Formats: sequence, C-alpha cells, structure tokens
Amino acid sequence: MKQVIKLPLFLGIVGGLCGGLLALTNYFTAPKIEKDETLRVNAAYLEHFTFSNIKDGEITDTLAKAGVTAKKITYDASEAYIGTIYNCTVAGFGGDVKFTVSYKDGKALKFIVTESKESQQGSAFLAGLEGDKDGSILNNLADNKAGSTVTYNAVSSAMETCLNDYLSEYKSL
Amino acid sequence: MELLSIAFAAMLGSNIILSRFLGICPFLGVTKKTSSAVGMGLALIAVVLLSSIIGYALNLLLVALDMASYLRLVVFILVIASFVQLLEFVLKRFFPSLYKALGVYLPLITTNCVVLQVCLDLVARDYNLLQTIVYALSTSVGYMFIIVTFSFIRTRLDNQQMPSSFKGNAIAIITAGLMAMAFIAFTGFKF
Amino acid sequence: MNKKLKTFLNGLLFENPTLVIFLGMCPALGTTSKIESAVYMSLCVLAVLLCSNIIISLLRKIIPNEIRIPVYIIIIATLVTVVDMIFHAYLSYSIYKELGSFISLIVVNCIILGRAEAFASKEENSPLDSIIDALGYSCGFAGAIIIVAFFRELIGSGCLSWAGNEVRIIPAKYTISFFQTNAGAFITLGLLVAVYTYFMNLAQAKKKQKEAKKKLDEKVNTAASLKAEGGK
Repeated sequence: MKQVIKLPLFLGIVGGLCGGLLALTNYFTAPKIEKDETLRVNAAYLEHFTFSNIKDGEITDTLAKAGVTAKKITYDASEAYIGTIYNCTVAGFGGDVKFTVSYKDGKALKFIVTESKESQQGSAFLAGLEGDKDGSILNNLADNKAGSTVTYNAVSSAMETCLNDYLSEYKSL
Repeated sequence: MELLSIAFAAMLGSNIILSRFLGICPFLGVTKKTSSAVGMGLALIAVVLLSSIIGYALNLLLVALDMASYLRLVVFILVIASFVQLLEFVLKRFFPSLYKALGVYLPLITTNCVVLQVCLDLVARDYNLLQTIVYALSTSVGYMFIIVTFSFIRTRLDNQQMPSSFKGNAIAIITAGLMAMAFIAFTGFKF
Repeated sequence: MNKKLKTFLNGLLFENPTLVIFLGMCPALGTTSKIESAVYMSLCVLAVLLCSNIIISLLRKIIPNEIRIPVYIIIIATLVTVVDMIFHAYLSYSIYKELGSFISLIVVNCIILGRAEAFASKEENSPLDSIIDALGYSCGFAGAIIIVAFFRELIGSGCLSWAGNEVRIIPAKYTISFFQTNAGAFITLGLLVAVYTYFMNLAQAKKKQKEAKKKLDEKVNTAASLKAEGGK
C-alpha cells in the first residue's frame, strides 16, 4: 500500500480504537462519579441543618449566573423556617469548585466543599472556610484571603449573590 | 485590571516552576548554559502561546460535541506534538543556528508539563480568548525568567568547591529550592 | 547476570528515573507532601507504564517508523485518561483531590515516552522484557518519591498518616513545617539525590577496585606462569 494512504490510515485506526476505549470507560465510570457526587451533596445538606422538610427554592437568573445549581429551603418538624442552603459551582484555580453554603439568622452559617481540584494554597483557603466555627471567616471573607486569589474571587462573588438573595427574602419566610 | 492580576499571578505569584513544580526536567537539563536557556525559553513562549489558542478553539468544539471530558487530553497532547514538529521544521529551514543551539531540547518541549498544563488550566478556569492569551504569555515569560536566572546561578555553581556527591544536579535542585523560598514571599508567609 | 535481572536493576538502581536521569520530576515534587499521595501516584505511573510498554511492545513490528511518536502519544494519552477516570470513580476521593492534575500530567511524564522509545519499540526486546523494564522503572520511581514523601511528612508534619488514621511521631512544636512547602520539596529531593549519588559512586569505586585487583592478579598469574615456563 502506498505510504500516503498507509500512514494516515494507521493513525486513524489507532485513534479510532483509543477513542472507542475512552468512550467505553466513560460509559462505565461517569454514572458512578455522578452518583458519588450526589451522595456527597446530600450528606452535606444534612450536615448544615437538622431538618424535617426540605423544599427547592426558585433559582433566579442572577443566581444562575453566579453559579448556583440548587437552592434548598429547610423547615423543621413544625413547619418553621430554619435556613437556606445554596449549592454552587464556580470555576476555581484548578477546575470546578462545588460547595454548599448555608445562611441562618441573617448571616452565613456553614461552608462545605463537595468537589474541588485546587492546588495546595487553594485547598488551604477552602479548608479554612470549612473549619470556620462561628462564622467569623465566612462573614468577613475579604479579611481572610491570602495567596489564593482566583479561588477567593470565585467563591466570594458566588457567596455575595447568595447572601443578597437570602437577605431579600428570609424575613418573609 | 483582572488581566493584570492573571498576568502577575502566572508570572510571579504562582510561578509555574517554583510554586507549581511543572517543567522541572528541562529546568535541570537546559540551564547549564545561558544561551540554551534563552533559546529554550523563546521556543517555549512560541509553542505555549500558539498551542493554547488552538487548544481553546478545540475545547469549544469538544464541548459542543459533548465528548470533552475524556477526549480532551488526547486532543491537546496531539496538538502540542504537532506544533513542536512544525516549529522544528520552521527553525531548521529559517533559523538553522538557533536550531543547532537548541539541539535535543526542542522535541523535549512536547513532554514539557508547562504546555499541557496551560491548556488544561484555561479549560478549568473558563478563560475567554483574551484571558487565554494573557495567561499563556505570562506563564511562559515567567518560566523563561526563571530558567535564565537559574542558568546565571548555575554557571557559577560549577566552579565552587563541594563534596563530589553534590556536584552537578543535586546542588542544582537545592539551589532551586532556595529560589523557591524567595518566591514564597509573593504569596504570603504562613509557616 | 542474565538479561532480565539486569533490565530490572537498570530501572531500579542504575538509571533510577528520579535520582539519576531526572525524568518525571514534576510528580516527585508535587505529590510528595503525604505518603499516601506518593503511593497512589506511583501506582498510577506503574499502571500506565506497564500497559503502554506491553501494548507498544506487542505492536512494535507493525507501527510504521515515521508516525511512531504520534502513535505512542495517542496510546499513552488514552491510557492516562482511562486511569484517571477509573481512579475518580472507584478509588478514594480525598486522594484524587490531593493528586489533582498530576494524574493528567503523567502523559507528559518523560519516563513513559522515554521507555517506549528506547526499550519497548526495539525489535530485540520481547514483551516480557518490556514488562520487566516497566516494573523496574516504576519501582525506581516509586522508591524515590515514597522516600521523599516519608521525610517530608515526618519532618514537616510530625505524623505519618494513611487513609485518615494518624500516628504522631514527632510532637507538633518540633516539626519543621518548611518541608511541607514547595521549597522544602526541592531541598529534600536535592539531598536525597546527593545521598544516592554518594552511595552509587562508592559502589562504582568498589567495583573498579575489584576489577583492577582482578586485572592485577591476572597479570601476576600470567607473569608467574611465563616465568615458570621460562625457567623450565
């Protein structure tokens, strides 16, 4: 066979086989990855509040643009409003950062990361947010950023949008 | 303003060699002489800039086809490999002296972590085209800055007295560590 | 020493990828802040190197020479993506987060392409030889990065941990957390390279001494036997 035909044909066959292998592996692993993530997100919801009832809130355009993928309003056993949890996906330093942040009594309560692929500094920043026991870091984000500007920018802009949305409606719930 | 912060972070704050450990292999191989370091740096700037632009375009295509997550790596690395081949051909034809100076290091750019990482980064952080160009340019300029500076140090290192097991690469790595210590200053100290 | 043992020891000791020929340095510095990450990283490299060596060795006679580099690259990139997906889905999620993008960077790890080009594609190396070569290089890489990780974790954070269980060995106030930073990684690796070079040089010097002595003994024997013959 002529070289001009043989070489691209060989490359094409190799490429096609490899592409097929990749598609096959993706077919098996992608559902499992998604399932694991849903489990993590649900566990995170339970960690924010102990609730008896959880309802989906409406995601407005501003929320969607900020990266909010789910808004959950929690109620206790007597249908009294506890707080709101926002599930956000933002673009961080090394990929998507998916986190849930909860608001109660007019300010941010807790921050739980469900998926991130950050570098050492970004992970340290996120770990600091997660370990915030009394809301002092979460509610004063600008005073506590260091060395992870990209992650900070992404997270803080999403949190600000969530805070504004929460403040505009929590009194009426 | 945001572009400036991207550029500063890529060049100094999160320097690709000293803060993120990428591109170390040529860092040790090419810095024995300043001229080869400069040549490698320039070649890398060209490859990184062009590959990142093409990578950005191809990523848009792959996302549209919804095969992005698993085909991305293969496509990026093939683009980079072909670019390096192209660059080798162009250099051989139009700048033969530079081609000879670079020697074996040019094909090594294919396996240089920097190029692939820039492509993966622009995908991960959702950069648009202008941000991609700024990021690629500042990352590769930062890389070149470090390898040229290091080659200045290293040419003087070879004449110093030291135990024979440190000579060559061991002392080079330790010196790189001292440089990395200096760069910690850009992101704030917290031991 | 037969060929198979020599191939294995080549990758493990004489041409240790991290400590002698300085390939695959990026993961050696980036994933060694915890022993667990280093172990999982070397497992990934082992998987990719083994499979790529086997595949390329099996196909070595039919890959046309002009396009061999693109073909190797496609095969290696596919293997890395597959390993990445399997890791993400079935293995520990916290370690996957720690390793981050370093798994994807295995594709530009010079070890894999280097062994494919220099060993697996050669006609005289059977697939079994390629398997042993892959094992040797992976064990050399694994040994180097696990030792670096051990020292960094021990001195830097004072405790050794595995899968969430910690054993504190050095009290917290005596740890030097510098070793957990990037600069500390460089310095640890540099010192390890120096130590390793020292022992290799020592072994080489001893070997040279032995050979010189053997040559001298031979000369003496020949001279003695000639003398004995001459005297007759």
